[in-house]
Amino acid sequence: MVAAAAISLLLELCLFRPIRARTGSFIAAELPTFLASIGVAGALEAWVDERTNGESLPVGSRFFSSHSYAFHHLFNITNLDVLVIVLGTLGTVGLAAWVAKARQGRAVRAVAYDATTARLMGINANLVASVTVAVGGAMAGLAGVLLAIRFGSVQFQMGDSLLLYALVIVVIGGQGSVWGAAVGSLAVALIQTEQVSYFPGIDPDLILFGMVIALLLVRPQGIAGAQVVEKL
Amino acid sequence: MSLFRLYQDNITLIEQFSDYAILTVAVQVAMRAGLFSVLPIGAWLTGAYGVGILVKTYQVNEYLALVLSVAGVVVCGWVIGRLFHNLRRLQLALATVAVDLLLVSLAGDLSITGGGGGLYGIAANIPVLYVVCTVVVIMLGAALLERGALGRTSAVLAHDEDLAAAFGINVPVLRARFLMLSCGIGALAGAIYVMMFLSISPTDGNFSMITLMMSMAVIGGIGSWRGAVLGAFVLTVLPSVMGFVGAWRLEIYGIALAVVVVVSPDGLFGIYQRIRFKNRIHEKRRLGKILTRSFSVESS
Repeated sequence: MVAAAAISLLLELCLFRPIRARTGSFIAAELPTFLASIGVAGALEAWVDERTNGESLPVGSRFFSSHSYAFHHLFNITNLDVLVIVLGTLGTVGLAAWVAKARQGRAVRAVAYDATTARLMGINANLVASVTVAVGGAMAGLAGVLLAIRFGSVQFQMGDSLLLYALVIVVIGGQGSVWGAAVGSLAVALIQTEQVSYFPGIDPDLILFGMVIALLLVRPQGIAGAQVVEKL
Repeated sequence: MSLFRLYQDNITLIEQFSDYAILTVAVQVAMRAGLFSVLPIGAWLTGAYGVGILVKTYQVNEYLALVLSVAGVVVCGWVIGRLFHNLRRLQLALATVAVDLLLVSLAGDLSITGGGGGLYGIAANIPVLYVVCTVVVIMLGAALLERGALGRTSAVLAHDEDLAAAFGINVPVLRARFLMLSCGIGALAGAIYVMMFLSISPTDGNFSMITLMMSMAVIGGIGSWRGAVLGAFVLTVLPSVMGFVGAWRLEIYGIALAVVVVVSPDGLFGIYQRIRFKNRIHEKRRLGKILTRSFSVESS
């Protein structure tokens, strides 16, 4: 998690900030930042592929010994599942509280709304961007660690499909809303797991991307996104 | 003689570059008008499958198949362009990515498209000369798009849509037209691809293809068709010429994309343009100095 946060912070300092300096605003920097991060992600992935020869590495169960608990013969749950659910929920709630209540979180929202005005009000926009990117990196790191423990192995391509799903979730949940992201992830997870029983034989991606297009057509700002008036 | 030899040795590379060049121009045409769309890649896949199915299953003449599938994609592009009229920036990008991946999984599911294995052994053929001519025509067309009233209109559209509307431009229609055009060019690239390489599979149009095309367009520079062609050239020809890059190819792709975006957000072509602009200013200053001097001599 710390390593992921550090890498994100490094990216912010080496890539995103110079891009913003060149393009002049957060909004104009959106696309270059997106592309630069995809580039670095691809390079990192290729590097890991090189180092591991494309094989998956086992994640030791030194720290966790897996137990399974049965509840009235209804379902089984392992302590790992509990850990994933608890940490995932804690992370989401913590992040939502941070963005909604903390001074720093308010600064984040202010910069997102209007960076220039936020700067005039005495907010260090670059610092806010660095903190946000580091927190985002740390959360992604936490998700990666949980996934690795849950699956018992890591492989260099395991983030590929997640990148797409994460983007999908952010858009259907609504950009800038933690609760939207939570609802979006739940929706995507439900579609992926439940389609087998309801629509057998249909690719889950087909349903997912079809729903994304439909949602964007009906509600471009996402489920929880507020109606934003960009210009009057 | 040696030129002919060079051509003979690199025929696949030339075909690959030509196809990527057309597709990158398709991406760039939309991006120049401010539309961050990856629809050309979906159009590329659809165009390729269109020709593949028509030629393989229905034994249609390959050139007729090309015209039919490009026409079909153009109509779809128009409809999608109108449907996506209120999507902006990242939302538009994601919607188009979703359309593309929807097409990819559709191609993998249907039986007419040959499922996950795709279509192969398609009995089509296209001479390299035709392909190169198509590239030249597309480049000329893209150059025309950047000139005159249409060029200025698309520049305004990219800069500020409200401003464009205030100038009396019908923004939704123009956006749809640019999306339609880029889809058409993308479908053409796909049709030519399948006629050259005789096979197409769903994974050919997946997310890594999107990333590759975006890299080409952005590394070259989205401001001009020359940037798109330059980007396609750099990312197709250089890796095969530079053998020493070898295993580090993907790392270099990624880092190059990041570095170009940081150093010059308008790509390699942007660097060239800035150098030329500086030289021109320099030249003007030099001329200006001569003029002032002669003026001062006269006045004294």
